[in-house]
Amino acid sequence: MTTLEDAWRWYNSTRRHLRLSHRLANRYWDVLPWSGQLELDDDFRHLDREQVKEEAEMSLSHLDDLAVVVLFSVFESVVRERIGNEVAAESALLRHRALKLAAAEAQDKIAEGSFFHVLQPFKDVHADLVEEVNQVRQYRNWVAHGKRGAPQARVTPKAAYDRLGRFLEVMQSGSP
Amino acid sequence: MTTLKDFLSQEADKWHAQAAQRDAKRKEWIESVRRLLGEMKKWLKEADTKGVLEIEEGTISLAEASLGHYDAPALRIRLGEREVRVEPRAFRALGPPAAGGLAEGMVQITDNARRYDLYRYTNKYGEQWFMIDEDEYSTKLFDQAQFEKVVVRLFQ
Repeated sequence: MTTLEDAWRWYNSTRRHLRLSHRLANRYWDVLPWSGQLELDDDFRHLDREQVKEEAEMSLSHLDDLAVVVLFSVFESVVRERIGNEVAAESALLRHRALKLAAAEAQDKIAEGSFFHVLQPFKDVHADLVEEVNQVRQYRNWVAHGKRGAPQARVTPKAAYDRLGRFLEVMQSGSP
Repeated sequence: MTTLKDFLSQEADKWHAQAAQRDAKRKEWIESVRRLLGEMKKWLKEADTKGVLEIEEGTISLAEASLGHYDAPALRIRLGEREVRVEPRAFRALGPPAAGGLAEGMVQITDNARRYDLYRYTNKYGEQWFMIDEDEYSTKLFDQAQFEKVVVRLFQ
């Protein structure tokens, strides 16, 4: 997955398939045509209704938090790459060695430094949006670090996708 | 190295400094959930003319950076072996952009597989709840009609 759209499609497809499995087990298990091909299929004949239901529920219970991590990781990668390319293009025009060094250091920070600092330059024009993206980042960190303590604010994949997508649109429009 | 006594003393200063505000927010939020669940129970009773639903009130334990640990009211709605749960998830939650930014409350209605998220905002209209439609991801003002649709969708 290399784009926010890829990650969003992955999340929705996974969620849909898990829900379908859950619904099959929960509602239609007894009316499935078990006699015939299904009962001869090694992948299906030992399936247990409660097990399928519980596994789907367990997977769904973690999917949203995992999706926020995935969405943010893709977003971070796209933002670093895009800003890095823009800065590289402008750095190529610099002539003074002090400015070249400063530009090289800036590029290193954009590629490897704290993502919080990468977002900061956008705050003067898009303070609210940057704040919301930071809330997604904080939630991602909370999930990625083992959910220790309590999160600052709850974030769903949809809320994350909306904010991160809006930020990418702002970047795309060139307004920063 | 910081001693436990010093550490706890510093933490206590921070914790107590925000106690009044935190307690007021927590109380306001729990009351808000209670009002919402009260509305839902009323709507369910209006619809359940033949008395087939079983409604169980309970609590759920939550932990949040801004409010600490607390218990909030929750509902279990049963129709035979099927169950729908209504549970507050957080006081601070990033809500739908169409409704505003940071919501002051998030409640989920779920059957463990499908889920509908409600977000609470207080604005010039007073307190409003918005729902994210799980199927089309649209944002709707939450009311009796929306609640009834959700309950049917989850039980069907």
